[in-house]
Amino acid sequence: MSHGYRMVQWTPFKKTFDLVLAAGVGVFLGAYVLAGTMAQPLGESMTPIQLLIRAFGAAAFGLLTLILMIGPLARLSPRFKPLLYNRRHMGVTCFLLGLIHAGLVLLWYHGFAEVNPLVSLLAENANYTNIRGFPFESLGLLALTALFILAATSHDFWNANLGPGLWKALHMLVYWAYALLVAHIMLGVVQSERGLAYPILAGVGGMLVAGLHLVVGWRERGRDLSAVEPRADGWIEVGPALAIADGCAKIITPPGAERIAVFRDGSRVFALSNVCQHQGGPLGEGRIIDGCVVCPWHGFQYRPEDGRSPAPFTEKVATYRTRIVAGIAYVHADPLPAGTEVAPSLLEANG
Amino acid sequence: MSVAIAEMIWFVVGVYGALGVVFALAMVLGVMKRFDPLAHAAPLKVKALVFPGLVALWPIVGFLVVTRAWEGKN
Repeated sequence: MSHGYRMVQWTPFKKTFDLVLAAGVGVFLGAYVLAGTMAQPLGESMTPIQLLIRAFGAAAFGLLTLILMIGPLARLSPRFKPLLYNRRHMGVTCFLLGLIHAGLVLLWYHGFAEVNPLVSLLAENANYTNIRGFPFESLGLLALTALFILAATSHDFWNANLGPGLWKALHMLVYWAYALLVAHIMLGVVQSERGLAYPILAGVGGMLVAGLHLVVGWRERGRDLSAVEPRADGWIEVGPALAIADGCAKIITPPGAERIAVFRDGSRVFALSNVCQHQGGPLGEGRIIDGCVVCPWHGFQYRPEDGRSPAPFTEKVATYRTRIVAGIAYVHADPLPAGTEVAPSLLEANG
Repeated sequence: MSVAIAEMIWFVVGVYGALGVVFALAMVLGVMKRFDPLAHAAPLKVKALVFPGLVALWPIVGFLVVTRAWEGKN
């Protein structure tokens, strides 16, 4: 949260996560090189550098596939949420793996060219008009550029200064990067080899990512279609206040507007925008801890009464008026300006 | 792609990057103070961490710097 920037907000979990990530990448690279060496047909042996090029490329692609699966998986099951909170280190690792892959490619395939290796990378194969033998290296270069922008803007400084909307839009580049990488693999190594390992790796990865996003998108679409029409006076019926689990929220979808998270904290009922100011996380899927609503994605906190983060933090979200009539909670569809103080509705006082 | 076009692409990338480095240095050495005082007060390693992004996105950040300065004046 934005009272000061730190390089990394280390927690014991984050340290363990990073150790597991580093070990996982190391084991993958070692296993790939070992298996690649043993599986090479006689007379077609690759050099150690060629094996490393493929190992780093496969590791980057596999890690990006995992990164893109985490978002939808976390929406399907809360067990994946800890991975979601620490995704940015995976993203930076993915970029570094891709950078090593690209560096080795430049060194091995273009380092001894007559022109500058970077020029050689783009100009050596000029077959841009034909899908067969297409210069797939340029696709990898574009994907690496996108991954660099994502890694370089992963720090909270960028989210705070670009704003959540622009930051999120910029980070949608990850899908372009993934599509470019699938094309890079399909037009590159898959065209030049008869084996099925690479088409399966790229195809299964792509289908998993696309399939999970479709499933979650379908669920979210169902939620949007079940939007609750406000009454003429603007109030929306939420349902029995006691049906909202203590410390949790019920998410209401007004037609054509941001979702509203209606929380119950003991006998108090209040409502905030469902969109966290940090990275747009779903506040309504978080819990009330120590008197504050805690975003399930990165732990950003908001006070129930005014939607402001506790001092010295400065984030704030829109608040909504609530009321309870005969035990039924209502929320007004019109958001109040972010940070506006609203008294919570009390169960005892309203029956 | 011909060698000439490839050279031109890398030349444009180089110019863009060089302007980005100048912009990022100006940000880190002073402009940041008015743009984001928290970042200005942050440790050097944080500034080093955001430096590559400033180089890459200098037109966007430059636009934000100008608009914030303009809003501040008005």
